[in-house]
Amino acid sequence: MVYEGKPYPKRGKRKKQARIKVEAVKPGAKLLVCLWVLFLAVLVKFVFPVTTANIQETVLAFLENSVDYSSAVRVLGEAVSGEKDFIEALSEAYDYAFKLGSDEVEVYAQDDGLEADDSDIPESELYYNVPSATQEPQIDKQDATLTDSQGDKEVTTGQTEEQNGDSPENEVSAFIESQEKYSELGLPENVTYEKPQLNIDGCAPVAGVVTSHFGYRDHPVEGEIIFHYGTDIGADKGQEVLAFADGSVYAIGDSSSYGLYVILQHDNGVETLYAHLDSVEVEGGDSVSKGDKIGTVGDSGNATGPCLHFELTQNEIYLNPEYYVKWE
Amino acid sequence: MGMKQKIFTIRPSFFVLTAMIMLFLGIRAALITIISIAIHELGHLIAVWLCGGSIRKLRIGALEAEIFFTGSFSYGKDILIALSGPIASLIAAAISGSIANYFGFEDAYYLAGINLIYGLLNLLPSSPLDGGRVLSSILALLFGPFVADKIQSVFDLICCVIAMMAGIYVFLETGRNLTLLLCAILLISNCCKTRKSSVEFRKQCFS
Repeated sequence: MVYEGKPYPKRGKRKKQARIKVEAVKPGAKLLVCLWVLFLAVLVKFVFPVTTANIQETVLAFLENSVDYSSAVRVLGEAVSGEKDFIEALSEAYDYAFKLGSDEVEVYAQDDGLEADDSDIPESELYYNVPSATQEPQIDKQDATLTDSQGDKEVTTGQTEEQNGDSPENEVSAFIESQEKYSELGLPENVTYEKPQLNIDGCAPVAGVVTSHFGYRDHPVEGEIIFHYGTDIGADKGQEVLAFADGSVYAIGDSSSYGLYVILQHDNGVETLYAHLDSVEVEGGDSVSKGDKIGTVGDSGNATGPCLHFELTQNEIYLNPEYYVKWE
Repeated sequence: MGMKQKIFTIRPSFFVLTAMIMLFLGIRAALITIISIAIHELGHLIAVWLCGGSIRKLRIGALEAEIFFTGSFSYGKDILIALSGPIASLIAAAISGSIANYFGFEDAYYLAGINLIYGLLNLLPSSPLDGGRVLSSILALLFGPFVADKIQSVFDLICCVIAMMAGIYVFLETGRNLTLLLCAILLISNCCKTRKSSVEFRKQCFS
């Protein structure tokens, strides 16, 4: 007979011991306790969403700095679905799961709800959806060198590649080369580095110097990498901002990141956005001509100094504005 | 024991894990994890049923589930049963992957990823995992149970050492990531538990 470990009771002698009853824990008790803990956790999560959110944030902030398991899992899922090369996915998943590097890729322009289409522009004070363009299309394939209304600066549009000696392919490849070190990151959605013909007569919206180019850049804070959906041109506060080309005012709005902004709609699916404005001189629905003053340079929104944030899209794809407007 | 034989129990560790995932990764992640574990166990269950065993008891733990069944199986069937779990996971991953590819559902990507991870993880040749069971059975077929046991213990050791080294490496590199380390410790403890019970079992059978 196998007797598990306990000594045989000594016959006759009964040791007087304090009867320490070690009750076997009832089999269901552990389960019940854990169920209660889970129940309480769910309860707390729903009844005190803010507190839990705060706690979650703090813990996540600590964890997040070293882990991002969801993305790791998702990336592996992409490998399974065949949309990604397996080795590539493995290394990406490894980076996500253990974040051995400290670079984080952050998407810049999209997350404040600002989209150049008519579905929503939150936090906007004025919103106009212009039903139809009223100006005649100007298809001006050869463009002379323009002087903007400041009078002292010459700018050329993308139509004059012959004049400034750059063929479109050179510009594109030069730009792509400048973004070389980010090539592994791919491109965000709705962005292209290509230079399609706009077939629009355009001008520089403001005279100034480019302070931040289109594309990926190292964000000064914490070494993050962010994608810049437009070009920032430094200028004096109060300086005139001009319409890039003929068109109509599609929207005027105010957001925490863009500040005061205007969106113009032009021909051929082209739209331009002017942000961080100090003031707006047009109203929704107005027709504007190329070079018309639409506002003034400011530092509203999250601009670090007075500048114009200029975005150019065609059919809702972000293009590099510097292909089409030249600043020094 | 006057206790009724419980047919279906869930170990407390399961709830702890679920609560942690829910808190840190969201309810969706927890659900997806539970679904993938369920798929894996379903694979095992189907195989057991196909092999003619009758399932007596199911106990679900944090990262494993134990299926108690009657019926003795040949090594071949054992291999089949052990493999069917990971195979089910991988099939589920492939299906989710196709769905993700054609329809682009976010959840499908996560499901595919989790099932892939769980399936591959279980194929590691360590005793508590399915992979270890497959290996044991194959070795037993080739060399008989005792030699198989010895060889299996070598594999166990190798897996534990590699897991431990990986865990320490990641911890040192990131300065704070403990997850892999904890997984390694979990693996080691489960290995010891499983080995102890398997050795005793075999002793009982053959003494």
